[in-house]
Amino acid sequence: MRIERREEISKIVLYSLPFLSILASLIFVGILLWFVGVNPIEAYYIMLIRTFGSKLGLSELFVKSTPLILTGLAVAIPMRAGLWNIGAEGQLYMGAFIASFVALNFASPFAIPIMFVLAAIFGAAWAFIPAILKAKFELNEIISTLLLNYVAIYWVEYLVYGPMRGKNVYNFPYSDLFPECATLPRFFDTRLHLGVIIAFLIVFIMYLTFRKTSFGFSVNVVGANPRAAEYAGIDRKKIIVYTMLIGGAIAGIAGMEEISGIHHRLRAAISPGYGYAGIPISLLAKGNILAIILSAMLFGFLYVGGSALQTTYSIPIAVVYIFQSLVVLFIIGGEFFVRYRVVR
Amino acid sequence: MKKLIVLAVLIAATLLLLGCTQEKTTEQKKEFKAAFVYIGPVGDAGWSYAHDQGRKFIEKKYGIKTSYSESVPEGEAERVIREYAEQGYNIIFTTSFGYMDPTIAVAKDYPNIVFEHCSGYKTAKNVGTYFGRIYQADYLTGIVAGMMTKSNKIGYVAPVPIPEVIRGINAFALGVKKVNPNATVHVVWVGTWYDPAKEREAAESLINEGCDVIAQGQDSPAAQQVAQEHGVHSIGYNSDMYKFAPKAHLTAAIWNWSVVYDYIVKNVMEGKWKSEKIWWGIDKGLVGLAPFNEVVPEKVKKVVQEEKEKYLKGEVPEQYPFVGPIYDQQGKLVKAKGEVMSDEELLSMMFFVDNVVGEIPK
Repeated sequence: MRIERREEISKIVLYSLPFLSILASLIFVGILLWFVGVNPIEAYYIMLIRTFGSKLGLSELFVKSTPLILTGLAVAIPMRAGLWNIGAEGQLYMGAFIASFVALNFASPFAIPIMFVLAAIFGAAWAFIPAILKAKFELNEIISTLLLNYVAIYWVEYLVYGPMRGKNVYNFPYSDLFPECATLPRFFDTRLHLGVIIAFLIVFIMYLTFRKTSFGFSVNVVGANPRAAEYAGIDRKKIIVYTMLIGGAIAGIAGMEEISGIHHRLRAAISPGYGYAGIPISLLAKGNILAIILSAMLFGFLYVGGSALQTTYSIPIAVVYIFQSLVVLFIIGGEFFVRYRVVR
Repeated sequence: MKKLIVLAVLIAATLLLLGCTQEKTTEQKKEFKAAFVYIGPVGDAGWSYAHDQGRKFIEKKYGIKTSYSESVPEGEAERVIREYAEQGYNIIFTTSFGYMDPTIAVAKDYPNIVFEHCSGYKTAKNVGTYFGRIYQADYLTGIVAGMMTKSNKIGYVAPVPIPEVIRGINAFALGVKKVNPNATVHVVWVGTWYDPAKEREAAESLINEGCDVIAQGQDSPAAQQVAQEHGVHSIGYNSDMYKFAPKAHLTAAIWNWSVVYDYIVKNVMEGKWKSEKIWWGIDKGLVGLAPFNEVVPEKVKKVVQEEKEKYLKGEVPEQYPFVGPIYDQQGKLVKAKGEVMSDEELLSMMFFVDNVVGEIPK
């Protein structure tokens, strides 16, 4: 038995595929919901209404999708050059760390722009380590980026239990609240913050970069065929370093936006795994920059809709997690079976 | 790809329209509803489990509708709390310290809903706080451990270095000291509230060091099970963990949240609620001890009972055992004889008493 690439795939099948996959997963999850005593049709209706039908739901959809869009990009851009950036989580934490440091020590009207720039630099620096190791020594970037996550996460944990522990927090492991000048402005009495707009802006800039510049073209060539790229005179090592730097910088910005837009203080566990979620988001979008928005919003919807399910039915969190992972599994799995077939 | 995006936008737009028109018709008739937001899973025999027992109690007693969300991360809490507020719940209980800022933020927008936050220090006109003096129960379990140990080494598997935990360890150690001045309490930090594998490892290392009673501060009963496997004794936490280690489990410091939920819900239903900072102890029954294991001798039970009576009869202040003389690990006198630690000092406690072995991570 072996797996073979299908030669012809009908356009209709290809485009309707994500929707068919979602439908299939909904049927599957429906059975599961029915088992825990919830009417699946009503449950799906509630998920949709609560997410798209109210100011709270819609604003939360965007709030939730914002870090996912950024970490999705942080994975997708190196992926275009054939690299696996598993380190978006750590890069996010480094961005959050430096942003908090600025917010707490250098309050000024310029705090926000400084936080953005430094978060991008620190995120990029965190990605530079595995990038240079890959470029110079061909060290596997999957392992190095993954392991650096732990360093970054524990670094932030050390800080909030130690030097950055706040004075007004009764010795809880949090920093003090940021001054107002270091928090991102919010809109419409919701948690919708400036970072949401910036995330969309970054997507647009990246889209243009990869569509219109020779750099973008070089990245695509390296990703498609590294050897051909070198024949064509493209410096593959440079591309490796640059794409990782861009990815790291964007993940760092994600950390800054979370800390300055949502939490308003440094704490451990600032991200429920946004960096890791970036991997399926990028896969789902197939590296297409604009499609990252859609695929991140799907994840955002699963988060927001998932908590709507919880607040309505008090169902176990495990059911929500299974729901979320099944949808993703079906979409990525469906893709595989359309593109390939099993031959005896 | 472009077609896909257009299609998706169209779908989103129709859903939006659908949502806006349907929203008003789903409004339900008025009934009293209470919501609970938990940090952990309700099935863990730990912190959230104990709260959920309280939820079930008031649901039954008052026949009201209750609802809960489990394992809500701190960053998500604001949305979950707001969702309950939007759905017209009369009272919302948020049961983790990290929910403090989100609770205050949402409460500002819903002045007619009552919010109760567990274990924090910020209140508002419609936000009260509640917590229990579990250290009183920890003190009593320390007495049990101090009298039961033969090696004079007692292990403590500690979750995270925050004042609440440190207070518990100190009270436990003061209980040990009261009955057994030669015994020491050895602390190993795990760094999480719920990680059975790590807790297991920590308990094993303590037993290898020679500890013959293992106490814990986490939500999972892993340390209890390790104690049972190694034939040593254990002290549970949060809820009665007897069934996980029937041979090892001597007793446990337990929460009985139904007492405080009963009080708050009753007040809200009768319109008598006002913002309070509740911090009740063993006299109100908010904290207590799990039933003793049959291996605990009568004389131990008697000493515990005597000490417990002191609280019940009001012979000691609520802060007891944090009454001087109290020495820290360096032997420095923290509180002179007869001096009582203030609630403020208890809430920000960051030192170990002299019979604790181990450091507070800085």
